[in-house]
Amino acid sequence: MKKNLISNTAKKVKPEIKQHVTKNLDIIDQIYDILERKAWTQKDLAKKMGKNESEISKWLSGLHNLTIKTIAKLEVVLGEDIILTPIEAQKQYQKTPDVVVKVAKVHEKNGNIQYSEPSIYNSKATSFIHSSQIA
Amino acid sequence: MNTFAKIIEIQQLNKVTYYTVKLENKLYSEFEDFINRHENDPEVEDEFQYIIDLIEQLGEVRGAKKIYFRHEQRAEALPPPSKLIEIDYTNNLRLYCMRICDSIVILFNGGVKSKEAKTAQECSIVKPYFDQANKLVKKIDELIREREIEVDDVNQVLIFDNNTEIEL
Repeated sequence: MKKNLISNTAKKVKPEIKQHVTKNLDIIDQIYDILERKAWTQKDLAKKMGKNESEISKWLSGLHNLTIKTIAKLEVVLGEDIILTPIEAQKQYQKTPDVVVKVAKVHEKNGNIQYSEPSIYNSKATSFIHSSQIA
Repeated sequence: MNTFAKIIEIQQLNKVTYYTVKLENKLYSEFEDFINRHENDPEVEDEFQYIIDLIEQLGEVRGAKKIYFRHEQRAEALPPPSKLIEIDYTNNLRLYCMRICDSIVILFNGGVKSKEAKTAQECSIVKPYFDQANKLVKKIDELIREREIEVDDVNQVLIFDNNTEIEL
């Protein structure tokens, strides 16, 4: 057996095919993530789409070339995006409100738990802000 | 007259260890034979590359999760025996394999299904590989149940004696 047979054979794969495999698998992961959060089985999804379970199973393997049309149908049934372009993702994330978190240092002294004065962490900030710096 | 085969390791990647089988009367293992016959076939160039890259990506990054392989739900109380899996991207070139767990897969052989045949069993080219793979899956399953082959999914290896043979 040649050493590293799979890796060496895979080195010759065209970049666009690698990308195709990656995208297909990413989409499968995303769909299953949504199904898990909704506690749906493949059977549930098949029912909601009016399809046979075997057809859905085929769609959701890493081997099927899902069309944009099919992905759109899945998104409607699942009620969530499966594919999001960077531009759309940026628009969505920009709408996310700032999250302010109070973080206190916890330490133990003489068997007692003590909390230092809390700092406030702004989710967009790159450093901690001490509470005295907040207007 | 029966043929004997042995399981051999192809490569241990980050998330999956791939094995194949070598029949006693063949020069190459089944997976090597699959590569030799299709790697330079322009008719199935993209499909072959898709299958190889899929194997590599699952092996290096994602693991051989059940969701990546086409499978059917079975409503049995006991764990079902391992099923033969067909890696078939465009209903043309297909590779048969056996998924033991997320970290161990045995790759067999396969071929190009003729357009006229609706199923592998109806195709004179693919049927022999399909039948052989089915036999191998059943026999390997038996060996696992009889503990002649042990599955160590933590270390991603099958444990078996070098003399362990699969009788077909």
